[in-house]
Amino acid sequence: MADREIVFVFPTTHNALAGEKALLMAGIDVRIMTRPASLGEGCGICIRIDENHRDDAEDALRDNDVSIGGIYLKHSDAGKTVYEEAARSDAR
Amino acid sequence: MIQLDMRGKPCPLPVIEAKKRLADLAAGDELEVVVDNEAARENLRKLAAGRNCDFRAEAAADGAIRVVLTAKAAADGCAAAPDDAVVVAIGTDRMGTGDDDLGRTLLKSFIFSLTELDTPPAVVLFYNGGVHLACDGSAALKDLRTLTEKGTVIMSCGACLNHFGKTDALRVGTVTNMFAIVETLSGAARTVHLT
Repeated sequence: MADREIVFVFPTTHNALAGEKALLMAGIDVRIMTRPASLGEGCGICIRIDENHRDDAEDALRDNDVSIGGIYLKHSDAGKTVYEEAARSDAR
Repeated sequence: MIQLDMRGKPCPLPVIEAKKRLADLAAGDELEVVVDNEAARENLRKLAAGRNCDFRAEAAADGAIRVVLTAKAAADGCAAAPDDAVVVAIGTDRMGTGDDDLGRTLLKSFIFSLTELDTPPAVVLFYNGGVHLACDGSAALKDLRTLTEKGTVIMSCGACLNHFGKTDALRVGTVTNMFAIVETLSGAARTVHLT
């Protein structure tokens, strides 16, 4: 579904900026968003990508030594935006 | 029925005025807006969609278009605060000074946050370097499209698009000119200005 997105949360703003660059270099379409309060602590900048690019994105972040604070699936449920914590690929 | 004659008024002024009047509508009430251009009709249609109002339009005399917005239910959001005609003017592709990469990312985060507002801005206006945000390749396009779905009018300065060679690259919203920019800013209840 087009509205299902993966959200990467980062520990620091430097990580978020490096993550954005790494994903763009990998040819992945990225969208920036403000970190919702429900997604824990850390940098206020998150990156959204299409769900089907998740594996490539995680590879790109890992290859560029970008620290990730958390990964969430963003989708709509009865018109309300929901964030579900997603397992990292190295834990799947 | 509340009536507004907005003939001769460039877009987005009809939308801004209509948005103010929506606050006076109870469920089932109608707001009639007479306009004289297709852009205004289309933007009123988007406003209706974003505010839970029924929309209908018909040809009127002398080439005018009669648009009627009908409030489905005030509690569902057709009623707007009377002072909610916020115009966000963005004249840069980055937010603040200090680190340009950070500034560009912050501005995209700012635009996303506009989509999360209970009442999105009436207008987002891009000029100078800000027009890049509405053009091909911008990472903010998806969020800007979300704003248009919620009734926000997106406008970009035509002279600025031309200056950057981006006239054909505009992907969201419409082209505007300085007259409309001045009228929009001066007619806004509140403005948020990023330069």
